[in-house]
Amino acid sequence: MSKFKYLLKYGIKRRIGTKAFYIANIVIFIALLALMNIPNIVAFFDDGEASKEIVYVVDDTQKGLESIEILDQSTQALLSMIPGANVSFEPQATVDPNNLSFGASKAIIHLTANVDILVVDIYKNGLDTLNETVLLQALSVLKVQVWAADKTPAELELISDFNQPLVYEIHTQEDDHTTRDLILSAISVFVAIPIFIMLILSVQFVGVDIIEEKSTKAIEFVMSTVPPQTHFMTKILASFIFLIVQSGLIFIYGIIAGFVSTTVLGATNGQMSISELIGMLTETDSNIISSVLNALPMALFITLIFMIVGGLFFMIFMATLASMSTSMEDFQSFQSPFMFTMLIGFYASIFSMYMGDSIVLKILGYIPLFSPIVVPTLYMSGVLGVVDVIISFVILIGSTVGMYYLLAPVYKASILSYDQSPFFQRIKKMFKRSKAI
Amino acid sequence: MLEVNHVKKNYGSLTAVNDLSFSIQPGEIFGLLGTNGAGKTTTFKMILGLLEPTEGNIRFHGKKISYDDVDQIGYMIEERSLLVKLSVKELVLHYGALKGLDKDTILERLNYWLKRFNIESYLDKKIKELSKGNQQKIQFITAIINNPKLLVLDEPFSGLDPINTNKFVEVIRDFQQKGTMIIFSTHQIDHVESFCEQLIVLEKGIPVLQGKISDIKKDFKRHNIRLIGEVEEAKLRSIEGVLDVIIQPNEWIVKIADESFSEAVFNYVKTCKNIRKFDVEQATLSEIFIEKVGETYEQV
Repeated sequence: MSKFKYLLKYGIKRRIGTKAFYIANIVIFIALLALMNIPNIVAFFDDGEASKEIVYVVDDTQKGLESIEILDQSTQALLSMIPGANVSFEPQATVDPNNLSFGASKAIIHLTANVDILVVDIYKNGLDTLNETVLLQALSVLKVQVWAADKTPAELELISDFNQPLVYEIHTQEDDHTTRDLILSAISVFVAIPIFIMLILSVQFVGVDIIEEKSTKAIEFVMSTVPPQTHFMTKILASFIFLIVQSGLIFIYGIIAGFVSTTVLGATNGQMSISELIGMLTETDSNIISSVLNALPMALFITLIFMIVGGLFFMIFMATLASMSTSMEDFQSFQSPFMFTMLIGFYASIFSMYMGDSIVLKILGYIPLFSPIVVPTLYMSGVLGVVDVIISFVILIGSTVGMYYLLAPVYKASILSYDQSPFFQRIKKMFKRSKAI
Repeated sequence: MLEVNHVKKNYGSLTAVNDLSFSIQPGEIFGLLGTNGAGKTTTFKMILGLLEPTEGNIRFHGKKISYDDVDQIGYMIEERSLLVKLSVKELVLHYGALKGLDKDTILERLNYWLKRFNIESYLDKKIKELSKGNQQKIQFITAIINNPKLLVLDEPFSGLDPINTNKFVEVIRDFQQKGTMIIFSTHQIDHVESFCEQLIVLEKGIPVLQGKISDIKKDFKRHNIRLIGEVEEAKLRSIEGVLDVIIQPNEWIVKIADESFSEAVFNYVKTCKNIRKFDVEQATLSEIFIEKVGETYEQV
């Protein structure tokens, strides 16, 4: 095995496969499992006495059906299957879409018929997503009744099955786009936290690894066996692989937790989509959630690539800083300005949902020191478009490559130096020495 | 063969080593002496390729030392360079792998050396739990685990008691017998005197004394006369050629400028009572060292 491979393997083994790694991952898995099973946990403790929501029904189908009775019967069957849902129906004579009067209701449904097809307009006023699910199921039953209303028994026998989907339109009281962006912004905040933690962890590992060898002088032995570039690369790659493995594991834990939540424990008996599930949790329209979920894969992809390349960028930077330090205390004071810069990026991400379309945020999105943390959240909150993200990513990659070529000689010059001069003076000295090398 | 040819190393305006040249043959032990900051460690780092000489060159078996040669070199640095959180086994496995050895070979050799140093029970102990002397032994083992052709030892005996120092000396002699080139630095001049063929004394980067120890001692004119008897200090000091008189609990040491002055001293001593010892000997290496380093101080 080449020394490069050996050092890389050794570095990875020091991070992955340790007791600390196993314990941290067990905790992360349990936390994710608990988080994604909140509906099941809620359902487990639910006494079934959820507060009843009223839906007004305006029946203009002219089919002579007892629509309220049909809806009530269908609902009763569903309520026993969906814990937490509780809805009842009351008749109303008319509805004016331009001047809705909800009264005590959480929604008004306007039933009309296009020949034998039921057409439903749903005007929502904060209807619970779970109840909305029940309502849609009940309307599907009514749909069949409407279709069958004018048919003779002979006609019904000829057409044994009716598979037409329910024709309905939901009218919400909120602006969909704003809500979608708000949700994405909120998600982005949750995304920013793990990105920040993972980046801090991985860059810390690089720094601590190097400074541990340097402060114990073990570096002298190591450097007498492998070239500085090999040492530099293996330290960065080992932490980089850790970053990818840990991110991948968190992703897998999320999938397992989601699977356990929806399929194994299944508080919703598999009748609820993920968007409905999240909608129920966040009390948000499932259509908006669905729109959010459609935007999420791209957002998560951007998050992933920025985290990976950004991680590499920060690690190169941190490894060089560690090579200039002589002890752990020295390293701590050396990395403080760097950590402060990362914190700025983190807070910019957190406040991006409040700052909106800020020019400062946009500028931060193009600076590689901030972009790995800021760009994913700015994209999710709609401040940056896809083109902006691509430009920022190209800048980040270019800076990472440039940073490697700029700092690798500095690392070589400083890794065996125990210079104690002040911060900027030392950096200047090491750059000067790297040019001499 | 290791050849160091007119090597110079500058750190900015400071010259750490200036025009240093020497060579070591297989099976030879070479001593590098000097006060703190004399340039010994810088010389070692240049030999190992950790530092590039500003001028001159270093050749190992006729070619410039590169990372292809490191597996044939053993290096023990002055300060302890151990990863203290690891166990003895983990550390030696790590360092051995960095020297290109496979796991089985490392463990086999480690067991041998632990036994030889009487610390076989420390295999799974953390380095930080070991005493300084035992840490020094582990560090020594990491330097020799690859059976090096060139062994570079920077202050190998510091912190060791006489018994363990002798063990180190035995091992170093074993490697010498196997044809290993050994270069080491020390503050304890008696070690150099006891088993070095050649030495260099560095002072502020400049070689002030160099060559075979026997030649150095021969070239150094001053001699010491050790005597036991009832003599008068004032009379001894008044003799021509006597540089100094030191009174020790059991004997007198009379320092003379040249061996030829011993006769005049003897002529006086034979007139005294109870003379039980009169021994003319060469100056010690320690005296030569102090003399030479002192001279350089004066020149600077």
